[in-house]
Amino acid sequence: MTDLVVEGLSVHYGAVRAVNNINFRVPAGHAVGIIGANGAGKTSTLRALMGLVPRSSGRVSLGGKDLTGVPARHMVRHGVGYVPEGRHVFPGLSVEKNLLLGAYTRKWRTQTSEPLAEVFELFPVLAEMRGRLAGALSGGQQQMLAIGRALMSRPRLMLLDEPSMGLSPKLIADIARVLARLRSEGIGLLLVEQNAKLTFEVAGGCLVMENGEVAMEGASEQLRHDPRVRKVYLGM
Amino acid sequence: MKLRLSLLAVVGIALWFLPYGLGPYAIHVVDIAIIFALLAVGLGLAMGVAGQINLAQVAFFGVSAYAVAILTARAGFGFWTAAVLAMVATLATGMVVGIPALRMQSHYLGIVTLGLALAFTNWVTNAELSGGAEGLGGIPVPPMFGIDLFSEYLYYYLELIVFAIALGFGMFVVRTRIGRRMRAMRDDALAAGAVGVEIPRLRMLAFAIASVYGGLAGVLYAGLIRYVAPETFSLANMFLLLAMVIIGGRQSLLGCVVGAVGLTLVREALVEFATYAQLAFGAVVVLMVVFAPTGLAGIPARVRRRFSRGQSALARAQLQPFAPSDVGDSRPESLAEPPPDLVASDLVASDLVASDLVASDLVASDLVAQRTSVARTGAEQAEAAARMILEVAKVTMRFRGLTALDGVSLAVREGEIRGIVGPNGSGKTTLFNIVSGLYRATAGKVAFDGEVVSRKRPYELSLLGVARTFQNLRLFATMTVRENVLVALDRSRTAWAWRYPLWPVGVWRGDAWLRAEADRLLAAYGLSEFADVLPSALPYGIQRRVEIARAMAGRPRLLLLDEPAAGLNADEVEQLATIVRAIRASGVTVVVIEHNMGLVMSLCEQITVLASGRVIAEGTPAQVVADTAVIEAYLGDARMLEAMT
Repeated sequence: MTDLVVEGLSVHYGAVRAVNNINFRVPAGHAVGIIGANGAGKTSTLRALMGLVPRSSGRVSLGGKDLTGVPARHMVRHGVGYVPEGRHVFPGLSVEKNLLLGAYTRKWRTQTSEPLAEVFELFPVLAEMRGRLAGALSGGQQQMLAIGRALMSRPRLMLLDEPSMGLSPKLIADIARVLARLRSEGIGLLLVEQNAKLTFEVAGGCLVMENGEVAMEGASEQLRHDPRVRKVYLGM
Repeated sequence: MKLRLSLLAVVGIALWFLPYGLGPYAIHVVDIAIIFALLAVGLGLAMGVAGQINLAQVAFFGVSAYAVAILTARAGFGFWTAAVLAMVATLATGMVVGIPALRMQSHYLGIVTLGLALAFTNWVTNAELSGGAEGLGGIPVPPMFGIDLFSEYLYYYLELIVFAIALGFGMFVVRTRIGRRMRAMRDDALAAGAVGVEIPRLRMLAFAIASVYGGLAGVLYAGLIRYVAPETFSLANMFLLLAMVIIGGRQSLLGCVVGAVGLTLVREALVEFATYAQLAFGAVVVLMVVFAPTGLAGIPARVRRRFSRGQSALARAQLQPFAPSDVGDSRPESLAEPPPDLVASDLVASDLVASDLVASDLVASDLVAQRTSVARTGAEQAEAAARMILEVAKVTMRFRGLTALDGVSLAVREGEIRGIVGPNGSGKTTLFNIVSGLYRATAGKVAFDGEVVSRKRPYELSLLGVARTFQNLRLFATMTVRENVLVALDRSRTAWAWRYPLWPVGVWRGDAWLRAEADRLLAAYGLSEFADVLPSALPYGIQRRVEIARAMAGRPRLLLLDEPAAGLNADEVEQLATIVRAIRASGVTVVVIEHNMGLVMSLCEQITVLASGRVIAEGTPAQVVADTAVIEAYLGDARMLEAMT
């Protein structure tokens, strides 16, 4: 019942449409990927869903509840977790404090200790570095921290913008496992990725965006074998 | 351009005829307003343009006015002799006040400069020389070829001419090399250093410029009022000046002028309600900072940006293919034909470079000689003859108990593309930070082209020929893509600033040449479309390419790329590979940190693998991926690798 439904979403920067009337849904416990070239409108789509850039039109609802006018700071309370492109951790705070801030909407310590333990189990390196300043982590470790921070609020839907950016091949495989596990726990995932292989691995269905519009969509298996997708996104 | 010129002419004529419509008190107020405007322009240059918090501007003003008063009234100098000496004294004060800026920034710098300003007011209030709290009078009317400057109407024209020149000069500085570097330093001092901006000297220069404006204002004030007293240079006036600059818009000199003139007039109108006026100024400043941080001057730009985004179609734009031939070409051509005004300084520069080269050649050939004496076979000899451009010897880096690098050694041949891979947190970026001078290694040595560079600052390394990109992108946020490239393209030094007062035409011509060069570079990297756009409006992948173009603009010999493929799709990664190969073909050595194994395998001749701060493997791509330690630490099991990369 926590389907994300997006209808007629458009984003304008001035007179230019960055995103033009796109429609899709992310059923509970499913993952949907968005791939496309730089400038296709993928990040704008996620930011518009989160309320970080103004939508010029379109409706967004989660689990039947209309979230169209909800400002970004309240999206977390409605069960949306967001992993921004480029990490955006709080560099002057410790790893642990960064994570606890992710659980800002959860009032009691008892409510935060459990997700904290889970994040540390998912990313053991964060547990090792819990007292260190986030700004002192390597780029890849900051990426893990950003994912962990989004998980702290126990979201029903996760919006992930390039979670594999800057991660080693081994960690990308780990991320794939983490995302598969979240999906199996009934969390919906909307994944923007340049790593098309990872996207196809994690997401059952994908949108291919071009010039702000959905150029193709379909099951990942099917897209994986599409000759155009293979050339542009898989480099084959 | 025509519109601007005619607008300028209209404003000029209006200002010329302004005194005819004003009474004697009104012209006095206008004379004071111009002096404040001069001060505000100086403060705007230091604070808004160069990002150096300067709360001592009113002290510069005071040093100059008091110097004129003391030298004329007490020592009997003529007015203009005293004025020249006062300017020298103020400039010296500016340099002294600038010293703390070498060590601290932002609010700390504010506190220190405020302290120095307080010290000045305390001294003039208490010293006998300066006339104590009563102040000092007896300054003569400045003689001026028989023009009686006792008249405040005629004095207005003197002020107007000085002010017009000072404002024009300030705007000229902002739009050309020095100002561009100052803005880059304000936006991101670290990235500015990495493209060769001499941060310490530039900070001093910012204070020196601010003090010159303070000095001019002081001289004009002394000649106008012919009496100085401590309260004119009090902290209350410092904050009034600050309010002028913030309300007007500190990043725009015209904004500073509008703020200064506007607030002087408002203050005059509210002179009977002084207490409320103070309150109102405070409230307006707070409101401006919160709702319009770029001040009045920023409002048109903000409105324009809203609409111009639409016209430039940048959200729609995608990366253009790369034109590789241009990268190699730009080098010899531009070296062969420097603009005429650059010849002199370039000759000096190339002499220096030449002597450096001779020195390092000696070292290198010594090394080569040693190696060849040991070498036996022809193959070994060929390898030994290849110069090592980068040598990292047993480098260790510790951060408070964490050992990020532990005795790392590696050597990169000239003309090689070297890959550096390793798990997250293995110290790859730390290594780049050491090589590019951002960190100083705890132990070990780094040599660039045979010269030990371990203790050099980032800008020194940049000038030697080391360029880099940043993993998490560090473009100058308030500067357009073209300006970002221009900062790196400009290899003139801060010492070159003497040309600004003495040979501005040369500065202007040099700048035109730089712009043409920047446009060529942007075209070569397929970025022409984005030339006038702020980086933040561009998608990540395009920002990454801007960073590469910016790094290459400095014509480096060694390029360090930190995860250049992050955020690119397969097609764009292909283009990146073409770019990197073309860069190497133009004679630049490339070291690249990357997780995209497909790219690393196809691009690099040699790969170094780091794990937990140590080199765990080194060799050809094929050797490295077959290494069990590498698979275990980095690649993960083969099946997953196949699926993910």
